[in-house]
Amino acid sequence: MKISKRLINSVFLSFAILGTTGIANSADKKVRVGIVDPSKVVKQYPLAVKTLKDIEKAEAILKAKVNAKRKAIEEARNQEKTQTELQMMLEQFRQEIEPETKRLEEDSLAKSKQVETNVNNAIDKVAKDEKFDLILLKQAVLFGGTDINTAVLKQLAKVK
Amino acid sequence: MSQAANAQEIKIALLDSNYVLTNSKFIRAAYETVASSRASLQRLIATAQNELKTLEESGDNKKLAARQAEIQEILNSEVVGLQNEQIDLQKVIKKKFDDLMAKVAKEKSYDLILDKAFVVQGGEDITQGFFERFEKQK
Repeated sequence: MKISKRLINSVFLSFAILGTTGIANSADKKVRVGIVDPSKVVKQYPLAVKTLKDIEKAEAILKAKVNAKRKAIEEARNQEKTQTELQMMLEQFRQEIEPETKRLEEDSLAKSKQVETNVNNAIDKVAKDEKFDLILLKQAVLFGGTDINTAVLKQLAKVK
Repeated sequence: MSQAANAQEIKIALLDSNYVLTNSKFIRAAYETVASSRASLQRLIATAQNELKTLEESGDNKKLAARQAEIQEILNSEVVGLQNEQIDLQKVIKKKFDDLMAKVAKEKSYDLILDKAFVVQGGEDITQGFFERFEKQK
């Protein structure tokens, strides 16, 4: 699976269960339920969009590098280089690419974690400010609740 | 007083939307209409391919190019028509589904109707009754 796809999946999956602010209403208050669609929020959140673009760009650069190395090895093979020379090339290739792949994965994970934290914090803030007792995922709700996507995006816009 | 005692009850119903969507005869019939349109389009494509092959074999490149352009235009229009048919159908199904859900929620005073797939425990399962009404609806 591509790193960027896996990254976005991990962001989405982390929203599978959203917290509540604790149902502590007095008897005369109506329970307030907020509905959030994290995939929609993430698509409209500039930091998330930029993060995804950056990751895709880094992936494309790495892919081009891998392809160039493969081509060089193929050419060496056609030039009938010795098995030892080919193995040395492969080892050099592995030593160059592996750390870069690992760095890209770690960097992608850290960036996605930041997006996830920001979105979760924004949801928490909206829930507290607007006194929601429960926040549910949009995909789980067929009827009822109040859509808080716009409020979450507004809150995210305030985060530096 | 404890928090639980303070909390106002929230009335939650559960609906297995997947069951409704996969077992509905209404939806199946509607998609069969779209499938029939898709089959017509495939037949049209096959006929067009045969016609173009005959023209290619005749060696009349000018006529071939002109007919290719004509056919492409016809096919583009047919594909757009089919896509629109699918979109319209989805809209009709969604409206029928949402309207009935709102009606049921109002009748039974449900605050929330949740998709059963997301709920492990609790709530009142309304799938069967909803499904029967969904199928009876015009």
